[in-house]
Amino acid sequence: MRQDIGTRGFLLLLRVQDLTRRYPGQTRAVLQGAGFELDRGESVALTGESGSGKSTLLHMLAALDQPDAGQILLDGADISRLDDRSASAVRRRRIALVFQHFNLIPALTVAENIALHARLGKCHEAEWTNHLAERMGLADLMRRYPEQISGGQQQRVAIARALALRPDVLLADEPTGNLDEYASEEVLRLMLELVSEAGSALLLVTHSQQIAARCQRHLHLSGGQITEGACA
Amino acid sequence: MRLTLATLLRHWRRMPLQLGLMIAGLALATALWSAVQAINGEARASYARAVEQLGSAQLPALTAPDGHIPLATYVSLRRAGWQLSPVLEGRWSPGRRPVTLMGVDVLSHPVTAAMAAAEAEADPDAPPFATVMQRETLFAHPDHLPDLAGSGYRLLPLPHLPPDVVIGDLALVATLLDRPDALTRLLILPEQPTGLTPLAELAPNLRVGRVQDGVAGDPQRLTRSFHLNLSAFGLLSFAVGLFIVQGSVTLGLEQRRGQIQTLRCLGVPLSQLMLALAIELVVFALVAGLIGLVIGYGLAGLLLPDVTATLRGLYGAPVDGELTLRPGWVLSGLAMSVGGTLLAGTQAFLALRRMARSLSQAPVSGARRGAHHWLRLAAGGLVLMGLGTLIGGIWPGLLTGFVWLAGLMVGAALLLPALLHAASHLIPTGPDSPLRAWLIADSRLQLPGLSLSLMALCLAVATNIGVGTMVSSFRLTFVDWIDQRLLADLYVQPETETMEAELMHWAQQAGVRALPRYQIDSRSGNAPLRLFGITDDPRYAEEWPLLRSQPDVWTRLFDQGEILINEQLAHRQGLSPGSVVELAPGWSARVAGVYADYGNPDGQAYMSIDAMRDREMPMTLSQIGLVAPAGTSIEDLAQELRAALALPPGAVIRRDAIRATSTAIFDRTFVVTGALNVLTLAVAGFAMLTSFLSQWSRRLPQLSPLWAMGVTRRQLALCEVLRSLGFAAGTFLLALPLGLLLAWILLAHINLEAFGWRVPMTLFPDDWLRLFALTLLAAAVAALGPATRLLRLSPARLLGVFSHDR
Repeated sequence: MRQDIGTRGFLLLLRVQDLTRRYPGQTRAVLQGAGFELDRGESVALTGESGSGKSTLLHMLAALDQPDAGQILLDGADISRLDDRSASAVRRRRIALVFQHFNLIPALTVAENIALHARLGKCHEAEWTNHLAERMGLADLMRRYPEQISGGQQQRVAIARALALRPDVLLADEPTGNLDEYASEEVLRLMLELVSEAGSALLLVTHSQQIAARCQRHLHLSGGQITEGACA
Repeated sequence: MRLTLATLLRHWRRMPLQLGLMIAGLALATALWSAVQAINGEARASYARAVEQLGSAQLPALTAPDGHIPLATYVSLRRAGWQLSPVLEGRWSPGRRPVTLMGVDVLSHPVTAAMAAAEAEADPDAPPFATVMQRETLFAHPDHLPDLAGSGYRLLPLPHLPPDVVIGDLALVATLLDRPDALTRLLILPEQPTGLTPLAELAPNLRVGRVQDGVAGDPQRLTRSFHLNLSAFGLLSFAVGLFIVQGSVTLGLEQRRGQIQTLRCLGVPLSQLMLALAIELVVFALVAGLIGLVIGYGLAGLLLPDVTATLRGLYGAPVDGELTLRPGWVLSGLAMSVGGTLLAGTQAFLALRRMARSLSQAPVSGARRGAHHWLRLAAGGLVLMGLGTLIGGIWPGLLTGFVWLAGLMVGAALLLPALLHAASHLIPTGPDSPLRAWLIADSRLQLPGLSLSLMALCLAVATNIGVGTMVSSFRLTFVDWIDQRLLADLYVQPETETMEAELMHWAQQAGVRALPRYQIDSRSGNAPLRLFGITDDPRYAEEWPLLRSQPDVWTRLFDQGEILINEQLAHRQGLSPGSVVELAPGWSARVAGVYADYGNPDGQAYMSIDAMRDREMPMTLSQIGLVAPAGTSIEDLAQELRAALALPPGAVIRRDAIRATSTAIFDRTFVVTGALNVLTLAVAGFAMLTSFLSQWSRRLPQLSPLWAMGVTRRQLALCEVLRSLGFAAGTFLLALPLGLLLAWILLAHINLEAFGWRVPMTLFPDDWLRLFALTLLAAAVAALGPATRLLRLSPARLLGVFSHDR
């Protein structure tokens, strides 16, 4: 088990410095010298207008995309220029993602989907996975396939899959964007509780100020820059 | 309507590769089918021309039970008012090779027109039938004219005559055959006066029936199995091509789900969407059909020379080596293309109907198939296999044999996905191998999309194994048979009786054993029968294995007047050792043994030369075999013989030369089969490629999350290739027994029905390994495209799956 969260500077997990990203053919950089810090176990909301670069930032933090300039230091190691193999290893073991459209593997059952990421990272704990499934209300759906369950249930599977890894960082991109109000509230509540239980840091991209307010910190992305927002 | 169609068609502008693959698949399928049909059509037209040249096929004829109608009977029937055309037919040996000589009445026989045309072409100034009437002219196939050069008669070509048929005036032929007052049959001409006394009263001993002129027989009948085989191949290739079309059309529709949803929201009725889809398919089918016809025509042109050689060599059937563009062929090719495309599009029509009624249904729910679906499919497959076997087993015949094959093959193809699905559950997947577990689970999910191309692969591989085993088994047996049948070291065909006497004398002087073989052409059971007379020699007993025989078979043959018959005669007339067979009217003999004979489809019998001479029938010497004394060089002996009798080099043929020529003819016979085999496999490989490429657009959303979880693109690409190899290997494992079953049916049943002989089946594991490697290679190549794409895919494309808000 990881240590509990202590003082902020001592437990710094992620430092993003001067991140710049420009898409080919576009005059304006979507990210321009953006930077922020994320501590272990901390939950942070990231808001911004559509097209402001939130998802781009998230993808770079997950080593899915590379910045044109700047650094992303995970426990002091720059993960912004890794080759595919090393970037894949980071994602396999330390970073998990939850997407708006769930992105479950249609070929696998709910149980297999939940265990998949942890198994790929070779850190699967059956007890923890069962616990997650129980908490997420998925215990009775374990043998079903993704298309056989509702959208809210699918997103709970996606969150359970991400947390089964006990990632250092959970990056969630509009995780409730596709859900109705009730399901959204339920999923968010469970996610925040379980992220805390897992000891992971959470960076949650959202449009909703209400959802942002549920996190410990609030960052706002605008004009390619990140600014500190109001705390919950 | 126009707008709906234009909107639907617009999709293909964004998917040129998919469109190209679909058109190419259909064009390829149409090409193979139409090539085969062009070859079959050309052959049939040649047969029809030959029959037309002989002109007698459509006319009923009077024949006598003993094959001889006295001239007086003809005269009495003519006097009674019957319009008849007399024909005299027999074997004649003007050169080394005996031919069928047919004498006709030039004033009444239907072949007259062709004879007059050939004569006018040779001598435009001569009055019609001048030379024929003067009994100077014989007509034969152009290729056969050089063999007749020594006959001393004027020879004119009739290109559509069968190769070994020579026609001349009745009187001339009667002289040449030394049968001045007998006829073989009387053709009953179409126009008859009214009020005639019935033939049954005038000539009660004569029978009315349709008899084909020329002993070569009906080429349509003889070559039926060959053309049926070609058609089966063509149809198989076409069916495999349709799998490509089916996959592409269904995918094209799936991709336009959003578009269709919008059109429905805008008020386009389902019927209009259906019609637009039908028009789209017909347009594609016509374009692909035209391309296919062009390729098919070229392919037919390439294959026709080999087919011509086969038909002439194996069946003696006359086929021109030139291809003619027939409007019927073009129309039937296009109809096949359109019909096949609409058939392949059936699933798309059903999908469109479902789609238009339930727009919210997720595509993947239609893709997943439960165990019950596979069980239903497998049950259907088993029923088809059972039905085919039942039909083939209960009603033996050529056509039912092919129905049996079709039932087995289609049934096995339906069984394949179920077996692959079941097999995927047998592969162990532990918690330590999540990627393997995903690969297997994902393969099950991909199975419905890939099943058609895998079925195509299964059919192609099974056909390859089946036909390959049949051809190789046949070749092995044939070569073995040739070795056994060539008992002598040298062969000579004496052209005259003097030469025969000189040769026998020389052999005696030189201490060389001679094995002369005489022949008589007869008919038995209304089919041609060739009788051979041989002299007693220990080599027969030593080196000629028999399929079935009585004890002391050779003693029975040489001392007791019994005979040996070939397998096809035994099969056709249900004979076995001990049976009695009619060799000619009033001449029967007991069967002492049955021998294998793969050289011709007709009946043959061997007897002692003394038994043959007893019958006092006109016989010809077909060849003399010479056995070199031990220690003598065969080449020296051949030279000595040539020098002694002043023979040209080609007159003495060595055993190994005959063996080499026969094997070469055999190999050429199966060039077409081999070519179609390879092409069918190529089409199946292409079907796999299109399936993989078609699935590609669906794959990204399934693969991106894995990539996001840290599975590298290289690993994903490897998984794609491994899946393809796994499917191909599984398919091969089913195709292997199916192919062997196919070979067994071809060898033991189809061959028996077509030729009357059964060929022992030999297994060729080396060939299977080669084919297995080829199948894996085809699967790897098919998967390499998507795998390479995946490997080179930019992260941006993979990220595109997650970037919904940008």
